[in-house]
Amino acid sequence: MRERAIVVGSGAGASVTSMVLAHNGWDVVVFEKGPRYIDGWEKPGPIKTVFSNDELKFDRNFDQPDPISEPRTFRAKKGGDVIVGVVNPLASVVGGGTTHWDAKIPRFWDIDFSKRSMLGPFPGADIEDWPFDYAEIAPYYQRIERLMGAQGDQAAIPDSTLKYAPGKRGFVMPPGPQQLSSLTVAKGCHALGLHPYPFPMAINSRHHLGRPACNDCGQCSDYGCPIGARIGALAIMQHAVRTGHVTIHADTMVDKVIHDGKRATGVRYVDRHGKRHKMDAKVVVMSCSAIETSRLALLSNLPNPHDRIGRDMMFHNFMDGFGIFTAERMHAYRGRSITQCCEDFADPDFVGARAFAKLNGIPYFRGGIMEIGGSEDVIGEGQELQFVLDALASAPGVTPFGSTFKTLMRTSLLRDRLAGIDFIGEDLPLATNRVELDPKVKDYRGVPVPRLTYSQGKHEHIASLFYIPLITALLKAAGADAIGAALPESIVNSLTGANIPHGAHVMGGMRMGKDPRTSATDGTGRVHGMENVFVADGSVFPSSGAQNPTNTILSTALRNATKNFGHGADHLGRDHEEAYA
Amino acid sequence: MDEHLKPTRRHVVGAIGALPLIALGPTVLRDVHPESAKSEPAKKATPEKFRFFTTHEGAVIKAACARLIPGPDDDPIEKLYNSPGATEAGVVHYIDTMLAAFEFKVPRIFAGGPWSNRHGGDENYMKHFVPLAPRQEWAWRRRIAGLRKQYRKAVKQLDAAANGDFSKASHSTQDQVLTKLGDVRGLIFTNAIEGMYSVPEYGGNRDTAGWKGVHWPGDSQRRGYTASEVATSDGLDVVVLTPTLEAVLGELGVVSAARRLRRRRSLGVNRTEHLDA
Repeated sequence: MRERAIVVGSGAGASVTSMVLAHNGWDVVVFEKGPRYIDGWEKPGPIKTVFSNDELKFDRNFDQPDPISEPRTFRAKKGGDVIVGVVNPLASVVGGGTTHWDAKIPRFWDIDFSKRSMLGPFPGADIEDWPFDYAEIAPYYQRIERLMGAQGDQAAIPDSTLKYAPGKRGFVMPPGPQQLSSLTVAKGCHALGLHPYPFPMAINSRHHLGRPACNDCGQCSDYGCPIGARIGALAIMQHAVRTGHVTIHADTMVDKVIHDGKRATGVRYVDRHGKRHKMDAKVVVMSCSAIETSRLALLSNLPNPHDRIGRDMMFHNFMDGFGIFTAERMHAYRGRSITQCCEDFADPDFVGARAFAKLNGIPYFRGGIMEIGGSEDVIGEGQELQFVLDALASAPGVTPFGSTFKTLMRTSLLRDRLAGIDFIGEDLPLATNRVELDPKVKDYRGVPVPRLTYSQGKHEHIASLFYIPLITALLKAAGADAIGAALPESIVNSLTGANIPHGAHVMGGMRMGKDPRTSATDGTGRVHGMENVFVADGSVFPSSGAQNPTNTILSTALRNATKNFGHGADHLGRDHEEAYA
Repeated sequence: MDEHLKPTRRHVVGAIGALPLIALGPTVLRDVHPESAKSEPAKKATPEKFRFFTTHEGAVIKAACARLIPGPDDDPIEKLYNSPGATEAGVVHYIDTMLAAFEFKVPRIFAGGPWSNRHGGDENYMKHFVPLAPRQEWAWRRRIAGLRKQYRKAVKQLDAAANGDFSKASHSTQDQVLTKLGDVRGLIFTNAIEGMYSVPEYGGNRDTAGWKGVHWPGDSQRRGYTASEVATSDGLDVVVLTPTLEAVLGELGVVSAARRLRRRRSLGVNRTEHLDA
């Protein structure tokens, strides 16, 4: 007789944990807050979906919580002004954020997992080692990459990356066509002696397990894939569902883990009609993504003797670089939303970085991976121009609409002529950056919403100052005629009104660690003080890394679930993909 | 912005900055599709039908949209480029359909998928709208109730500022009013941009008029792009930097802020002023 395990959420961490549970004799019930938009992923073959090349639909929160029915709140610091609205949401649909991501799967580096041992402490920040090192996680990375169906080129990964993240990737297919915009910025990187390479990603570059190759439709990042060339964590959830022991409930939100202070006995959930029910279980796994898992832990009054739940939230230090080309168009709307990356700026020993740190009185700093060659889509360009023209309206002779607007759209400096840089810098964990329950605001179900308190620290500020001129220089070397590198947060914030983090890289809040005084979960993601409540998502990260986090979320979940629930799924992702086709 | 933070720029043609906007060069002309000019005969004497707007409200919003996103009949520069505007794209009907979204059997909020029949699809699945989940319906009923009030009020404000019927005022009066009433402009412009450039299933962008001339082919499934289209340049396409373009490039801090708001999903439907409604 199988016992029941409940998994809350259906994204990256949930898919892996469900797979391991189902292959170790558990009956798994998955609760997903959002709707189900893809069918047919449960076995190899084509999918059916209502995702499409429709920018407006995604602007209208088709796959994300709507800020009217499910807002979050934000303040920059304790006692600061509270903003209610959109606070870095992830897609909440069956498949989670991996349904609308652009599927970039770089690995974290050894200095991320052994941060305190290898880089040392940082004043004011909660720098700790992870419960495992790079050597331990590497085989899990490889299995995840195979399970996801990764495209990439092992031979093209530069030594500057392999030095920190060695070993063979689980690529099962070569990189797809490289975008002109990415190749153009890559030229600038090469000119500066940097090492760009084809971005590893979980998108089919050829027919694979019954699903088609990507046809480079271009409406990729922030869109669901219409053809199933990119199904994200559902490629892993497939292995859970095929056991016949996994049930997924969509449009259903768990708002409480029921427990006696040591053991959970089940959950309470709200169905699509707003009615509350209970379900018993022997194991509860929270995989709701970092902000929502912290929220659920707080809603459930899980043991929290040292006030660690929700602390050390991290979001990455995002900066935008603008490469604007007046002599040719970059047409970044064709292709899979950025096809090259460059990791040199993630190196704490990047030339000049140590000296700049010393000059500014800090022990070290890191930038992060750069996604190179990205741009905007057309409604985004229009609404950005609307904002810019409003700001210019006071200038003499500028009409902030009309032919001025249309001329800008035709010229498309900010979209078709743009090859941008998305700089994803490390964000150090600070105890003051935290999720709590908002004392006043509730979602449409009547459940208190998460309140985020967050400000960047000195590390991020110094890293931005150091890397902004380098971003400018490399865009100039790429041939951009008009260049604006990213501006420091302080300037951008003064124009947008608040420093609400964005970018959908959400980590921390339930960090792993040996010591309950400095962490919320143990070395395998089990909540301290609870026998059978586990966390499997980005909330367990003790540090943010300087790369896109999803590969590490998946691999950490695989490592932890294997330790907690057994080795029954160990055959999956080990062999070549045909073995389990 | 501090002077030292201003972006560096290479002026493509040094002295060209003095030329008016019209000197944008032949490349823009090149990709205006000739068929877009044929939208003229669509104009009929019969009054347009709306689902939410009264005839007068529809006329006022249509006139405002024509100033915000002008077409050949609205502006000499647009005539030169023969570039369709909000009127040709039926943008007012996008807005009207949005405000009447719940009068349809399946609310007109989320068009279907996985593709249209514009680029090799067997059928136009986008026509079949997706039923709303309860969390979505809760939000959208409130959002639209708020927007309806805002539009009713906006029409009154436009008429008042034009000393009569805004839709019958001169272009220069209309421009002055829209320049002055920043909040009203913000409301209509945001939705007009959506109606101009979204897939046509939402009621605007008729005959994909909005996508003509802006190097945006729209939805591309089933076709997608070939490896060569992805990787290679379409060739030299030089833009002359006019004072307005210079001004935008000179304010990349503002551009960066706009982009940040976009990334935070705080432009468009998620703007806080809509949430307060």
